[in-house]
Amino acid sequence: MTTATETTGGKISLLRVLGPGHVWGLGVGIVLVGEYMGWNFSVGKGGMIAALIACWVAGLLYTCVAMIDSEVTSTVAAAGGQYAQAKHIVGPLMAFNVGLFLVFAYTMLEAANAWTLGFLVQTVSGMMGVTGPDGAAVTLFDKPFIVLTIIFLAWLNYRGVHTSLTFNMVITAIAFIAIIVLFLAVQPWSNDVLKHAELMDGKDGLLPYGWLGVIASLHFGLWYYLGIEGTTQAAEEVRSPARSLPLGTMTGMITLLLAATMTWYICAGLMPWEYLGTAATPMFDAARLTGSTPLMVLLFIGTVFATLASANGCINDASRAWFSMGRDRYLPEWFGAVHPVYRTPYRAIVFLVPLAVIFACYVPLDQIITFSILSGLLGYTFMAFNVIMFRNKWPLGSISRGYVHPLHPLPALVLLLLCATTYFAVFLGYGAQLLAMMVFYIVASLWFHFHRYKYVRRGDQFTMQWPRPLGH
Amino acid sequence: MNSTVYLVAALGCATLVWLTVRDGTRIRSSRRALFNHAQGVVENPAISFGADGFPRLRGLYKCHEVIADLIPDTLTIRRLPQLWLSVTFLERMPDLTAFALLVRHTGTEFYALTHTFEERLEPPVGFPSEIVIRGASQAAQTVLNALEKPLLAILADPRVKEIAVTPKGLRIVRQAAEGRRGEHLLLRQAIFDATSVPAAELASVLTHLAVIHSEIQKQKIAQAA
Repeated sequence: MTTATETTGGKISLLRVLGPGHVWGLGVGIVLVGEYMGWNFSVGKGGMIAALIACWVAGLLYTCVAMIDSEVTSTVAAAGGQYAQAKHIVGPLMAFNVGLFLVFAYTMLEAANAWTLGFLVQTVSGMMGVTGPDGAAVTLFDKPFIVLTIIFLAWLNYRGVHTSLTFNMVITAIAFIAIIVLFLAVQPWSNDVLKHAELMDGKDGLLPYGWLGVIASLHFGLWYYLGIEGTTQAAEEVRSPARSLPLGTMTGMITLLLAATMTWYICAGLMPWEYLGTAATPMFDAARLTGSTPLMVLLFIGTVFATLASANGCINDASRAWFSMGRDRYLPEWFGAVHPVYRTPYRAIVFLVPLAVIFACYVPLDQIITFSILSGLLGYTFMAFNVIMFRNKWPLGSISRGYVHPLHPLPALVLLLLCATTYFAVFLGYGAQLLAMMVFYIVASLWFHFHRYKYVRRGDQFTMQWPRPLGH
Repeated sequence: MNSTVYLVAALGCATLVWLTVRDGTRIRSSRRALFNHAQGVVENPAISFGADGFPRLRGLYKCHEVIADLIPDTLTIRRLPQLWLSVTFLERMPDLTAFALLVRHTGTEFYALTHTFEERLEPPVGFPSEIVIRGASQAAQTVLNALEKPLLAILADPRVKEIAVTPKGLRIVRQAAEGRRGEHLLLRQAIFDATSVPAAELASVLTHLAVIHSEIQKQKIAQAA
């Protein structure tokens, strides 16, 4: 850990600055919410063992994503993730779609976070035995908390409000520590608390739907890692050594893989798969089953903080993607405005609030998560095609690359295969949502092609001075 | 039991509010001091503050009116927030055809002037490859070519983001600081470690602007002759 000085009202104080070794941990913090909710729906699709296999297979999918993304991001100096990559390598229609994938993946994740928070408040109020003036038990209604959460975080983003640094650190630390404490509290070295043998007895306990269930559970297996590729940033305006890009993502993924396995191990030993597969807050439920009040409080706070941190990041990222599309005229330019005082993309922030509120208030959690996963999955599918086009148009040696991923095209082909399998998995349980999403993107693409494209400044799209691609 | 929970929750909330207020005050006061060292570079310095607490410095440099702003940029996707130092030389040059050049352009540079010009200009040989240059008309290409040498010298500094040459004045936008990675990844906060803009840094930018200005004047005299 290094130290730096910061002037605070004339007094020089020492500030502890996080070193590179801690950065990956912090990056994981915002994705950590996947351990607190959502992943367990994979248990419902295929049973305990299927969920574990799905978790590891999804890890392989994200390894391919990390390798591919690192090569392209280290080359496109303009950074901006998949959106900028699509502009440079494929074209405006693809960039428009990738921008929408990002916006919807993040907005649906924000809605899922708010939903979980509302549900948790409702559950805890019921547990606390609050009574009304007439002496009857009162349970707090979740909807106001959902709406308040989204509006409060949107307001913070609109104003660009500075939240406490200490608060930020506390949030992540608690979310991390809560999982570890729970793991130790259930004494994984003995069978006193965890009852894996009883709960996973026979075929019903292991693979109730056979191998088809394993494929079906892959759908929610993605939830453990969704967005991890976004936590590794192109380091700075003045470019940094690109080696840190794959390293940061891979170390983050290993952390998540370990945390996911720990989470699975705890929950699989405490709850029958039929319950776990439908639970809204599996980690909090696991803490309840231990019977320890302090543990329950810790997991309650951990879930609240993890969902708040994640939702805040989602509002930030979704609004910036929407803003970028406005600036590029893929959407009306009106969305590309910056607040004159707060210097935030205020119109994009406000515009996306009702969307998040409607989904969080009126759509079940598993469906909200499905919409988020589907948008992410479409983005990953794009990445597989994108890297193949990238290597074909600009072969190795034709442009400077910060990082060259090994074994090309194997990672792209594995990624495509895993994406295709996951589409099938989604179709098995959520066929209507899959079709609705596809129809939405097709209609949006038609609108862009026949109406919006004429407003796009085509010359401005390509900002890299790369040589003319092969075959053009 | 319930009263204990309520008490702990209230204490927790109060602590968080206190931490937020304390850290917010610290950050605002550190922002206000950013031009404390650099203000000596200009004559008659006057510092004012924006709603975000970042200062604006006005003053005179070699008899030219100058404005220096610090602009926080959080409109980045998969990049860390940036703090830009924007230095403007207010100097009327009505005959000049405007142009601006932007390095590592992403499309989200709300503070840049380059996007406001319609015509795309060709970068002279030796300019960085990741650059976009636009002008008010194609006549700006002549001005650009004439200023090739001083512009190239400025662009040798990889922290320079934009150079604008307009009839109202000259401007250089340069990276002053970059947001901390941990805070940005966690809750998308833009926290900059910069304690103050070094006087040498502001002086260097002003010298560059003065060189561009004198080069423009030389070209004018040459054309008139």
